[in-house]
Amino acid sequence: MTTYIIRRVLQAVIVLIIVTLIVFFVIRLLPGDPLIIYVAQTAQLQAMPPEMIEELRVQYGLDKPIMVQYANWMLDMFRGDFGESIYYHEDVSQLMAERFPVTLHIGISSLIVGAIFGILVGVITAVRRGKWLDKILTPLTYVGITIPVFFLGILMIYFFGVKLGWLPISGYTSPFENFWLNTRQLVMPVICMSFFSIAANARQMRSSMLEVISQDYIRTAWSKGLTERAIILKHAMKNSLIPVITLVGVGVGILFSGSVLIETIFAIPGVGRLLVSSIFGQDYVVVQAITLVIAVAILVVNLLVDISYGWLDPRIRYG
Amino acid sequence: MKKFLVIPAALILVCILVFSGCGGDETSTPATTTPTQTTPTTTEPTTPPAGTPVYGGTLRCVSGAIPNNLGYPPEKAPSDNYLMLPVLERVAEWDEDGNMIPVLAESWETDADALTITWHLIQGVKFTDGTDWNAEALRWNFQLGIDHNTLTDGQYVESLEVVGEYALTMHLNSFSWMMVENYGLIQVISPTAFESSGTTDEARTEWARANAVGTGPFTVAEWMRDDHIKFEKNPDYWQEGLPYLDAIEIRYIPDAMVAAATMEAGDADLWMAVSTVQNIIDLQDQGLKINWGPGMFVTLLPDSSNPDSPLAIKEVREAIEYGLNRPAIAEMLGQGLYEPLHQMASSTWPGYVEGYDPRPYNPEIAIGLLDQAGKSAGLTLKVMATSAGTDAVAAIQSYLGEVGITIEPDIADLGRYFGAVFGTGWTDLVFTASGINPSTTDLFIHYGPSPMTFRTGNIYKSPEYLALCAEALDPMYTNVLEALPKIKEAIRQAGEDAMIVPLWRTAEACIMQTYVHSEYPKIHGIMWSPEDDWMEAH
Repeated sequence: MTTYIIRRVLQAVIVLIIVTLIVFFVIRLLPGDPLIIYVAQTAQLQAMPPEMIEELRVQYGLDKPIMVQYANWMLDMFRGDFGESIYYHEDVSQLMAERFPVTLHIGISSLIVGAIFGILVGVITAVRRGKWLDKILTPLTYVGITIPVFFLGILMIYFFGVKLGWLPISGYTSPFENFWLNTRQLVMPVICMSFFSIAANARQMRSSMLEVISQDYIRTAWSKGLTERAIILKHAMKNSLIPVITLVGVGVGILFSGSVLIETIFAIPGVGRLLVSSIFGQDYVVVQAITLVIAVAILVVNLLVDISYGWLDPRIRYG
Repeated sequence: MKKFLVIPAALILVCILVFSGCGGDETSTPATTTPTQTTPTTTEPTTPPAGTPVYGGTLRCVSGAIPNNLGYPPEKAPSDNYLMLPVLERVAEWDEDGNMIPVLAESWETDADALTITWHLIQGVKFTDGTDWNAEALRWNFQLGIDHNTLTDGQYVESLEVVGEYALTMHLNSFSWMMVENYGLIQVISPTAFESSGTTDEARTEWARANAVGTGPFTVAEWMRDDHIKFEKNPDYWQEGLPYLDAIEIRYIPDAMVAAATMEAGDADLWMAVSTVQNIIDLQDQGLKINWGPGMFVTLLPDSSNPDSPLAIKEVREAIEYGLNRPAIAEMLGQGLYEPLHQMASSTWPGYVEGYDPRPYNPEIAIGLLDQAGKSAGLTLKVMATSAGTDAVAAIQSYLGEVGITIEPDIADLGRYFGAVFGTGWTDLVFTASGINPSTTDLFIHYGPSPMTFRTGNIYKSPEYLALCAEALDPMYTNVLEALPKIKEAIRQAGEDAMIVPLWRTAEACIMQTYVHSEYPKIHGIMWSPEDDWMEAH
């Protein structure tokens, strides 16, 4: 097991280095000068002579050869210095500290909702295969997988926000400031973000459960006269979870990509919206830092998912 | 198995209870007391006569922009400026006719011979940190702008002299009426608050980006970057009996559809600076109030100073104007809310030349002009635009295709677009939008002899046009009204030269609930008097 973890960590480091290279060089392939974009957007261009723009270029290290810029960035990363945003004039670590908790709050809530409801729907539709509940829920999972997040968001805003007036349409309030307002504000974004994972988890869980409940040991359990609850919860469900756990791991990546849309639609100041505005403004340091942190998060979660297989199914051995 | 059904049912029930049970809304209800001297109160509602301002309430605004820099002038974007007007006031500003009116100044004197402007400041005003607003504070603010090269026309300031506690003289090396406007529009911060906020320049700058101490009717109570800003009433505001509101909250909602839904649901009282035509029409149809702003001046700018470009030929530029049915395109894009342009001015602008339409839509003349230019076989031109201009460029492409000009749209990301328009220049044509102010300074800012924005040198400007611009800025004129005849001559000359291709003026609106009374942004997109805003009981 230890050997396996060390090997996976080393692989993760290699992936991370590749990610840094891709992010660093790809964003620099975009046409346009980040300083010109910044000064144009802030209307400072009208008063900023070329020599002052060059001073800014030196200040942000953009005057150096690109390989030197990369090396400096990596060295700063090792020192825990993510740099300063060109647009916000703020430490990137400070910007991320403001935004990541918001995104994680929504994302983790969505992951939990997606996992709980997905597994529940999967179990129910498998156990009640061919019955009316299965006939209703299974087609709904197709809808859940195919409906675009932004469209669902707009529909929910229209019905629950505008027409029924049940929920606030946009914004984010800290739960420590106003718990109930925060809860109400989170309902639509969390449902939107978890809709896909509920459907995907349900479909995966259903097929996995169907396979497990046709196994001999389940038939044996039935013949022993165990209750349905005991058979499903103790014997069938745990063994059906491995593919779903994989999906939950993948869901962390979807969480961050989904946050880009969700945070824009619901005007939530999270890391997804920061990433979008930074890409448009070519705020190199912010894009690089956020991408790196997201990559680390996905790698760590996937590592944990891989390790959890052994717990879920002792037959799995790590070589 | 029934228990498996019970669990989701219970969860759904809990969710419904959470949605609806906690459904207290945050609608602010202002108390309806009539103003009494300087002691506003938020209790004992009464019913004032219609149109009489009442005190109290929080004005909940939504906006597609939010201040990211509260109080550090050298790095301020336009949205940082006008959205911080509740806190940071100007020395002077425009009225609806484009005349300068005093705010923190009492008056000013200009002396074109001595090359001086002297500002006389109102007395008894304090910054919200308790320090005095005086000539030294103004000097410090001007100097900050000059040192950072962000004071418009700051290069003409030789020195700043405090000539009295409330009088400051600017010694200049040149003079034009425009300088009073450019200097007077400065928003001032408290020098003491800034200087005492840190021991190093870096620390002070960092502090000022997140804090604003001004003389305004409100103070910053809460700010969350890219999310919201809340202003609270300044109880010691220098204008007696103002402001009416207890607070103003501006929430950042970048998506127009969501902002419209927020207004429709009654979750906001006012939506600032709306340019999406369909939203304006929809909300107007629902009975919401609209304040019309100036909109944007939309044009095609040619690469006419490049001798190798076909656009260096005047007939080609004229053919483009004749080939475009601007009223039809404006009607289509703006659903009746855009004003088609025929000259380098909109009808809302002081320099507008009444009845001047040198090149109305006429495809036959356009084809003839292309023949004269030796382009009878047709020509191909690129039009650079951002994604926001896609529909407009498609319409232009369609019309110009009819007269033999093939348009190749070049839809650029912001980086490449800004880089080209403000930095390296463009090829053929670029689709642009620029601001319109109630004075005429934007003529010089965008299209003058030394423009601040479109300064890449792509646009050919005739000696006659440049001479008229220079004459309009002659020191003998002390204000825009005196210079107006020359400005109109310059506009006409630009039209004769086919210097640019004016297209249309877009719509800009502020949408508000019926109980809100606000002048924002009637005068201009950057003018707002939040101390005068108020809300009826609702």
